[in-house]
Amino acid sequence: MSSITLKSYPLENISQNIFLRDLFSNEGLYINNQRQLFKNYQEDCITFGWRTSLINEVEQLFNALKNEKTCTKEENSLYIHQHSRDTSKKLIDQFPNDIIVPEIGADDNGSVTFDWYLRKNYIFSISVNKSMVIYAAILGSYKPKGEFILEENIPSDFLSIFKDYFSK
Amino acid sequence: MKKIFRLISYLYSRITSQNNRFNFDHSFKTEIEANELLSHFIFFSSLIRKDSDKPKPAAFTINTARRDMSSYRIKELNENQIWDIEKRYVSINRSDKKISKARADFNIEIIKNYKSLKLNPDGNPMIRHCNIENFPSDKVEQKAIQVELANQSTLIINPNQSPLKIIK
Repeated sequence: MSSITLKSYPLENISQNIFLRDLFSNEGLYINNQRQLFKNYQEDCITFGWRTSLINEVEQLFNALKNEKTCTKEENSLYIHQHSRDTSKKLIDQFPNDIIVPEIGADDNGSVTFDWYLRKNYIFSISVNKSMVIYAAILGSYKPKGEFILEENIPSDFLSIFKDYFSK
Repeated sequence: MKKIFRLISYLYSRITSQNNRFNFDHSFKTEIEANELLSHFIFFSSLIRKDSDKPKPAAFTINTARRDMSSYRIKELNENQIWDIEKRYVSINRSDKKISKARADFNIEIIKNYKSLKLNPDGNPMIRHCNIENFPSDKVEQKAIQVELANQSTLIINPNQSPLKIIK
C-alpha cells in the first residue's frame, strides 16, 4: 500500500537533504513530509484568522471615520481614503505569516497606519497612502525608512524588518 | 443655604483656576532654553496605543500645507495649568469643539536634533505656544520624525475626559 503511494510521489520532493535520505527509509521521509505539510497548513489556518481580523478592523475604522464630523483643513481630522483602504487590505495579505499583529489606525492624510511597539527604541510604523506604502522604524541604532508602491516589488529591507524584529 | 454654598464653591473654584491660569505667565521668558518640555495635544483615541502608554507616530500631526506642528511649552507648569491651556486655547478653537484625549510630552532637544526644523515661539494664541516649522516635504522624512517623537515622548491622558471615551 505504502509502496504504491510512494511510487506516485517523486523522491526529489520528499527531501532535498542528502543526510535525511541516507538515514531514513522512503516511508519515513514520506511521513515526515506529510507531517510538515500538515503543520504548514495548520499555521496557515491561524494566520488566516489574524489577517481577517485586521482586514475587518480596517473596514470598521474606515466606516467609523466616514461618519465623523469633518473639521476644517486647519485642524487635524482623521479619515481613510478609499484607495488607501483597498491597498492596506492587499498589504495585509502580503505580510509574512508569523508577524506580531500590529495596531491599526488612521492619520489626517487619509492613510491607514500599522504600528508595532515592542519597547523603547524598537518601534515600526507603516502608512498606506493610496497606492504608496511609507515606513519608518527605530531598531536600536538602526533606523530604516522608505517608500514603495505595493503593486511593484516589496523591498527586501522592508520584509527583513518583520523577519528580524517583529516575528513571533 | 444650598445656593450660598454653591456660590462660595463657585467663587473658590474661579479664584483657584485664575491662580493656575495667570501666575505663570508674568515671569515667562520667551527665549527657548535647553531641555524644555513641549506638549502636543491629541484629539483622537485611535492615535493612542491600546497596549502601552505611548502615542502612535500619527499622533504628531503635521499640517500638510504649512508643514508645521503645533505645541505648547510646559516648563514650570503643573498638570492643572497645562490642561487649562488645552481648555482655554486648544479645544475651544476647534470647529468641532473636541476635547483632547491626551497629550504627548517630549524634550525640545529631539526637535533641535533635526537641523531643518525650526522652533518658532510665536506666542499665538498664547505666550507658551511654539510652532515647529519647516518639516521636510518628503513623506518618508516626515514619518521618520513622527516615529522618533512617538518613541521618545510620554503620553498623559486628559483627566477631564471620561475614561470610557478614551478606551473607545
